[in-house]
Amino acid sequence: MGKVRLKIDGKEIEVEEGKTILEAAKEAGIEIPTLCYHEKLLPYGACRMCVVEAGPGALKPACATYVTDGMEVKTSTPEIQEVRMTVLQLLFGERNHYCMYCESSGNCELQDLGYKFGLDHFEFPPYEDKYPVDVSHPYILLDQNRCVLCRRCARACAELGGHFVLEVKNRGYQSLINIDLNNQFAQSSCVSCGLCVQVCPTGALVDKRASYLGRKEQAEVIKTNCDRCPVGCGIEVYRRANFILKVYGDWDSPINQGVLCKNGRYLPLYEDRPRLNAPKLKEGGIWTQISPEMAFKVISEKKGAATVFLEGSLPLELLQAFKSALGDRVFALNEVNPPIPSTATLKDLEDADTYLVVGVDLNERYGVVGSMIKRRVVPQNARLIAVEAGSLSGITDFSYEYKDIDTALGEARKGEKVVAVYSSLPEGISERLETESGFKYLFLPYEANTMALKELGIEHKVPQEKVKIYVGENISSARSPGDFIVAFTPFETPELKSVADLLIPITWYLEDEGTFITLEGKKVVRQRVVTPAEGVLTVEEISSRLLKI
Amino acid sequence: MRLARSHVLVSIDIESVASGAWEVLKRLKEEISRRGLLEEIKVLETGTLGVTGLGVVLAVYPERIYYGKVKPEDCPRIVEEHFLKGRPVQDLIIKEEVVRAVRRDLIGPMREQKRVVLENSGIIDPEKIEEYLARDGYTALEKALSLTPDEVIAEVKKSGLRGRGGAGFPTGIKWEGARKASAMEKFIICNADEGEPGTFKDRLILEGDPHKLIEGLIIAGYAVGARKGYIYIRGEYALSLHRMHKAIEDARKYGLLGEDILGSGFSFNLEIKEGAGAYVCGEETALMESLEGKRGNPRIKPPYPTVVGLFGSPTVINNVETLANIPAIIRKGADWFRTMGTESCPGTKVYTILGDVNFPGLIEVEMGTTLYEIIFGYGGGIKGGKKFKAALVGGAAGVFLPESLLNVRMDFDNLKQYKAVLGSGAILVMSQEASIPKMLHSVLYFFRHESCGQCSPCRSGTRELYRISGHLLERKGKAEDLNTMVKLSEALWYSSLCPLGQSLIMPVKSALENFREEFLPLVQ
Ligand SMILES: Cc1cc2nc3c(=O)[nH]c(=O)nc-3n(C[C@H](O)[C@H](O)[C@H](O)COP(=O)(O)O)c2cc1C
Ligand code: SF4
Ligand code: SF4
Ligand code: SF4
Ligand code: SF4
Repeated sequence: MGKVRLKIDGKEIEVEEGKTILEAAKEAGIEIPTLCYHEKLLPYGACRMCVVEAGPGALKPACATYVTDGMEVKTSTPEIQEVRMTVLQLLFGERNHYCMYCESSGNCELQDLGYKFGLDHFEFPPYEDKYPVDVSHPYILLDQNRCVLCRRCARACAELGGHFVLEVKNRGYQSLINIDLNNQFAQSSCVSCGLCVQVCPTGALVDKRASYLGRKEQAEVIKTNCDRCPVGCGIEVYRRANFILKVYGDWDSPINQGVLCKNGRYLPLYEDRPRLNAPKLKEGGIWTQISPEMAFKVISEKKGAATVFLEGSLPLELLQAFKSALGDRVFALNEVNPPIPSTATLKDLEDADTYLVVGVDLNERYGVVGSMIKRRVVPQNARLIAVEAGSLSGITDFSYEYKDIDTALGEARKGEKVVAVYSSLPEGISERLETESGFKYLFLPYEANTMALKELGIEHKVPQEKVKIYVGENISSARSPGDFIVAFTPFETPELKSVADLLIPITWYLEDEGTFITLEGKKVVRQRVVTPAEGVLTVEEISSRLLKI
Repeated sequence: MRLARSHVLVSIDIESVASGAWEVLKRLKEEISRRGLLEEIKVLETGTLGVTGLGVVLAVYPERIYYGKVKPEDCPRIVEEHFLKGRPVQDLIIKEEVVRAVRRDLIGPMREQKRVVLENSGIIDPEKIEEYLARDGYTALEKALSLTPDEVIAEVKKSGLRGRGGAGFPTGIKWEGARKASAMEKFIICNADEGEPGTFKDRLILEGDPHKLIEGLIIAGYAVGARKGYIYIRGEYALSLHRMHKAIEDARKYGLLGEDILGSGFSFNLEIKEGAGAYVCGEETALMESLEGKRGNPRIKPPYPTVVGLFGSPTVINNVETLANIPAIIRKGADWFRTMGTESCPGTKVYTILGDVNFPGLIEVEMGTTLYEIIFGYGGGIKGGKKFKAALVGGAAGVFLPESLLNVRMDFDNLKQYKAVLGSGAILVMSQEASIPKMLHSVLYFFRHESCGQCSPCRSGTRELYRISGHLLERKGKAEDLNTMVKLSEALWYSSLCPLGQSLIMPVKSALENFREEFLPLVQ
């Protein structure tokens, strides 16, 4: 890349070719106001707040105009400021921007601009036309009355998420955000990744749950990683008091660059299974609350006969604690070994020309991997060969059942850079798949920390023993006469209570620090963001008590 | 047009078809055949004859007699009296004044029009390629193919031809830009979206002389190095679509389109696309978006289409009238072309004269003809002998010119001095009775309606301007409203994303400056 010399506000600067005026100005420490611009999205240049003087004729959008050698740019002459002020006034008058009643007040880029430009009245009478509000979505509210039509939502949904749910309909001042082709949010193809909310500069798209619970500056933002699946996306958690307001994607994360899926952004905050807050013992069919000492005493009595079954959703430290306490009687509750080991990383998804997705619905699980694939497949920069890939098959002409695996493989082989993506595979299929010499393989581990189980050498085994200790959040067990069943778990569901004898509460999600190994083998740390309820045993407590049994 | 004794041209256009042109045509043919005159009288369908408001129009050659408001039941009379007995049917003849503005070279000793792009319209059967061939059709293509592409471009540059789509960009330079761009694939697009209200100059060419356009397109393709061209035709132009499809098919049969054209080794294909219907889709980059199957929103320029155009490839986009000039330029040479028009704007221009004139319609005259000449000469002056008040020149995004500017010579550069534009060539004439505030209000309505809504100043500003002007008309205006309108239109000029929002300044400022006295009473 060559260098380009230009002048911005009289300042001589040299920047790399291919930069926009906005980027060049930023390097030179010159700030230009923006609204529709978003660092992670392609330039759109439509709000016209960033207009600058660069050559004769009308002003140019700094965010979408590329620097050329010898260019002379002026970013804030009185004329330019006046034009921006008029545009801003037009935006404020266009729809309902009475900030006082807006959830985003205090966290709104339009409002910020209003302050920056010293707006102290409406120059143009605000329109009182009523635009639609869509409340049908379980997590998201769309109020078109506060929309500035920056299209950031639609651009993010398509460019980053690969979902292509949102667009603009109608023309001129009657333009509206359109969901699918005129759908209600709840009935749409939206996969609830929440990207649109995260990029919306105003109060037009808001997170229902977090609404009116606190402004941005009343919240603390904690950067950490999502523990809902082995992708391990970077997240920013908004905390107020001991409460999680919302979860956003971390734009700076090298893993997901800001993109999240429903499982990471919304589901944990909507968790409604009853929490277990103290150890409980069942005797004669009656549950009684007991002390942790009592609970561990029971465990230590049963120690000789007990076998431990660990879920792969647990932090490395907890897995380790059980492993060192109970050694070779520790097993994985679920499958650990990949049908075919990984040879690819997420980076390989960026420039593949063919994706072979087998046996997994990436709209439901590993959603961010789904986004990485969909955003290249839908604009036809790459092909998707879907074999029993659930709802993902809707975006490709190459959709097959397992019985047509040979046709699917033949189709995939036409690609030059092929990445096969899968989790568990039925018998017969992995044998067919693994012999492809030209493919790269991306195994999606079964659970968030399957890779840690693997690292600790903990093998999967089907529970058959009489005395079983389960550890995890999704435990179910059969029960035969004479069994003794212990569960270390955050939730006391009726199903579990009907089979278990002893329940011991453990921390869950962002209540505890813990290490996770991602599908790429990277170690990431899930922070403690909220303090667990009293009575819940932390990883540290459990570890030290296990040492003593 | 040899053997037959007489030719009857039946105008087939939207207006005449609505008045029963097909029925008239059918009946006419039946009558002629019944009378055994098939050998002697030839019936031809043609594009619009340029006469409006007179239903089905027939023109008979060589007598140069025009019949108007013809009904099927008139046909026996016309055939019996005129064709058999040689006595034209007096009560159906259109008095020469009526068509004077349009066909003055054909009727009476009137002022000549210079016909280059319209030379064949209304004269040949547009559905017969043979008739175009008989009038030197496709000889320019033959000549162009014997030259190098650079020589063709040099000739077009030398001719000084400038784009007739509105902006007047030099066509040769545009072609050269795309020729020099290095790319695997290049495209030519003919912009036949013609969304300007009341304008139908391009339609006249599409329907009256489709092969001229095709010839121009193939030459453009050859010069630029494109193998594929698109004609983007306004969806409502059903007959244009039909005629162009037929013409492309015929040209293909004659080896004028397709592989290895005329044995030159050059291959070129044409595809027709139906417009999406919005005015803004006529803007070149919006048109490309629409061609790519997306919503017709304008793109940010630069990059310009000659560098990054259709499907990302270098693309030349030209107006119908621009391309229709090409065959004559190549055939007769740039020097011939330069004998017409002005130094910086050679050639002719087609105007649509609308509004309060005696003879509304289309004319093709030399560049540099004065506005006075157009309105009072060709347009026959103001209807009902009233006084002239204003002309909105250049279409909706044009300029309200007052009487004092009637002597302005009409070409791209000259108009610039008066902050005016040629635009689509539409000239809307208003008599003393017209109200400029009302006219401006309807122009603003048009813009509010046609704004694509992509960029905030135009989306919100057009609505605001329309609101203010409505208030003025309702006498609810405030003194500062006039300044606000100017300020808004200036802000739109500075900051809008595409020329649609940018150009609103022209009607707004010209109305408020040239006709201020009409606005002042509204804010008192
Ligand atoms: C809102 C808008 C509408 C336009 N509509 C048309 C049109 O209908 N036909 C046309 O030829 N050019 C139209 N133009 C101009 C085109 O953008 C473009 O300049 C033209 O097609 C270039 O052709 P030329 O170089 O032959 O003039 C329009 C421009 C704007 C801004
Ligand atoms: S969207 Fe922003 S500007 Fe509009 S009301 Fe809400 S806070 Fe105010
Ligand atoms: S939540 Fe995600 S999928 Fe749904 S509309 Fe928003 S960005 Fe698109
Ligand atoms: S909903 Fe938000 S992000 Fe989407 S266009 Fe409106 S303001 Fe922009
Ligand atoms: S100026 Fe108007 S028509 Fe052009 S892009 Fe902006 S909103 Fe659309």
